[in-house]
Amino acid sequence: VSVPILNASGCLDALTAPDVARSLDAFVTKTITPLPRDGNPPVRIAETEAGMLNSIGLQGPGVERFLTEQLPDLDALGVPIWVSVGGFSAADFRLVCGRLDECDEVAAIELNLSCPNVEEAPETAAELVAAARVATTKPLYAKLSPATWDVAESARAVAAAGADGLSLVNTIRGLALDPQTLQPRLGRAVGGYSGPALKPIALACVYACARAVDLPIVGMGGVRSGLDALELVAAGATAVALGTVLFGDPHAPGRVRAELAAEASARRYDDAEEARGIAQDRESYSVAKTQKDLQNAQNVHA
Amino acid sequence: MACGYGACYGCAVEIEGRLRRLCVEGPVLREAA
Repeated sequence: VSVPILNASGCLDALTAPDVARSLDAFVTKTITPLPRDGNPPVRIAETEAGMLNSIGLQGPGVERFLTEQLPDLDALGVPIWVSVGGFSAADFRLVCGRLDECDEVAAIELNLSCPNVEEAPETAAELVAAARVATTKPLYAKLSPATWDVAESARAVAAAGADGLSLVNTIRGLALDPQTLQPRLGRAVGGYSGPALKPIALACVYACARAVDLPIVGMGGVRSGLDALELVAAGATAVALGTVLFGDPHAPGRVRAELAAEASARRYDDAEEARGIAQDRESYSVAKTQKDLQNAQNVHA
Repeated sequence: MACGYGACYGCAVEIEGRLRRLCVEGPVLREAA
């Protein structure tokens, strides 16, 4: 697969929508924590200008019930399973990753280091990655928040701590008020902002991190079309994940994949993967285009 | 409700101390007698 298409964690339930999950190159689970969690009190969703807020708060079965009740059914889908892992301390991350390490069904682990809807662990992202690294040899993707002054610095830190890849970006904290009462619309007041407004933020983070570290990057944030996906690839992503778009259009994976191929082809790339990082260097872009033009001209005359 | 098919957990309501998704466990939920 040239540019793999995944779902963003928490944006698809593979067991209620198995056909959608099968249309992905890998399925990423909702974040799994050590113990079961009810999540945050309702109201948990608010539509806003150019996106939405969510405040689910990592509702989930906990790792033991996940392993017995969900993982066998997920494995039966025949799609590589990435498990998103969350927690409230380095010990939590170590525990869940250690349990997953024993499971052949798990292809990779994404560390949710940046959920905006729960209390943060006291440790830094790099310390959490280091704790997970001790517990597993599976590929570890660090999911970083865009709400940081220098995301490239975070990327360097988690890379040094042993991350095998980056997932960029998580939602960013936002607030919506009821226009009549002027009270917060979400039960927990603030939530994670996602949707089309996130795309330029995601592009900037991918662009910065692709320069800072030599790791694969799953780009996500506001992707709705194949062109959005191609832009993330051009900024430096090696794979693309779909989030909020899945709520309105569960068939987005197939559509975006087809659009991505068409957009790449329209720019004379044989494959979307060839566009990786092209936004990083304007000079190499024009050289590459010129070479391609010469090649095409020669082919025409041959 | 953001998705309507059980993915987002946005429509959860509390019934007898448990959060249930209205879209896949509802739309009508029975309370114990």
